[in-house]
Amino acid sequence: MLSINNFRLKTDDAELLEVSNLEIKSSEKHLVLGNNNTGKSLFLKSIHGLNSNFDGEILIKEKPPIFYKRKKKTILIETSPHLLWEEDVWKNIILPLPKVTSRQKQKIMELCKTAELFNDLKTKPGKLSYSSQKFIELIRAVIQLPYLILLDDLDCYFDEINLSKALEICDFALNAGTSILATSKIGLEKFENIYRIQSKVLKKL
Amino acid sequence: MKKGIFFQVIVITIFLIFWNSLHFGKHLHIRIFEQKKVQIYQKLSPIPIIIFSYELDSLYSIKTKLNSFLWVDSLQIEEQTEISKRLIAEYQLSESSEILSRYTLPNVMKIYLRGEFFHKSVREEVWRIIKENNEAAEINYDNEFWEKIQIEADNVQPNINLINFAYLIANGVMIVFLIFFVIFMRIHFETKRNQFWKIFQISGGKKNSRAKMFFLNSFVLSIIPTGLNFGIYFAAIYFDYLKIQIDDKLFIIELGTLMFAYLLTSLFLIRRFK
Repeated sequence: MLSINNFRLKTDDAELLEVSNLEIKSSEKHLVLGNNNTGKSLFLKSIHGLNSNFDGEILIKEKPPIFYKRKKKTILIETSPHLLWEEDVWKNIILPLPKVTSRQKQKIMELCKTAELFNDLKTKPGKLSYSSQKFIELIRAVIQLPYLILLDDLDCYFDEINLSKALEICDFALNAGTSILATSKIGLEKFENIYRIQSKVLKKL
Repeated sequence: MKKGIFFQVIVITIFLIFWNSLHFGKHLHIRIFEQKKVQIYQKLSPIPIIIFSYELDSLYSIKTKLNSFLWVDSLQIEEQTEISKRLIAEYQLSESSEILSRYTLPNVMKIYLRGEFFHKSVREEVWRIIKENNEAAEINYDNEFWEKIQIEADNVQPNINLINFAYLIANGVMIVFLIFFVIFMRIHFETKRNQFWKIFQISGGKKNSRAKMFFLNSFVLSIIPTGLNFGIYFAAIYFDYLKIQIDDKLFIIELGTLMFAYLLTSLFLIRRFK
């Protein structure tokens, strides 16, 4: 699914992160641990195709991120919520879908129940908690079944209970072949593959 | 339908109604002046063109040729025998009828005109036909009065020309204004949707959706206002509320202007579509 080789992330002044090799297969969950300013977010942006200031090779299904410029196959969820505040929860979830099939509708309902959003479908997201807002973004990403979901600073979104709910939601996409790559400052359970950024190098734990 | 699109449909429809009223205004004014011109020309109707000729056959030939013209109201031929009889009867010349019969009187043809169609070019045509058939024919017509009528009618023409010119200018202004107005309005509403499309793309929506939606909306914003205007016009004509008919092509021009304006708008917004 995702193959990264000899990746060197640079800023204007210095080198920020080095990843000699990272392979993520379909339906796998990977977690990258790192402190602030270690280049976690920029690393995810590079995979998503928003940052091109790096050396090395990133391939998603054997094609570079630029290939997916017009038709994105990765979804990046950042710390700040990206929602339409004047629209309700339902509209925010179905926003990128050209049309909602009955199967998708049913699945969204199920996922909303898991996220305890079922009774808030008509509510505007501004009235909900931060983790509920992140649930909306997560369900919206999951229902599209992309190749890869990138979650930046996952530890900031959810507490322990909500995190297990979030991973339950992610299971729907994982079962369909989507892979997940998350970053966090602290270690989180339920991730099979965990990496840590140490001395500007990504190392598998 | 989104509020913004609905608002634009309403505004453009009103604009097009205003534009169409310009077409009607022009037609109404032209009609007033044309009627005035017709009234002037109608003064020519009671005065016939009288042709004297000794060749009766040529008069009949002229009659056949002129009969089909729109500006001919009626044609009368009076043969010389009828004229002598009438003169004898009118002036009680029965005693001198023998003397009169010794003289050969010419035949007479009277052409009564429908003045409203008897314009300059037509007059020349009549003279040409007469002379072609009978070079010796004598034409009797009140040319002085005809000249006077022509001058009077010509004095109305500058008013018509002025209306036509003003109409042309007004249409030009209308087209330019509509293009600028539509471009401004579309850019304004598209800018308001920037945040929506940003979130749409971040959430995983297709990148070309914005361009697709723009062109779909452009189609709606062209077809609905023009269609509404044409529908109102057609209904008004059908139910006899409107007596003046305008050229249907004007609606196509209006549609074309709107589409051209949207095409220009897309050039301004092309960076946002990428």
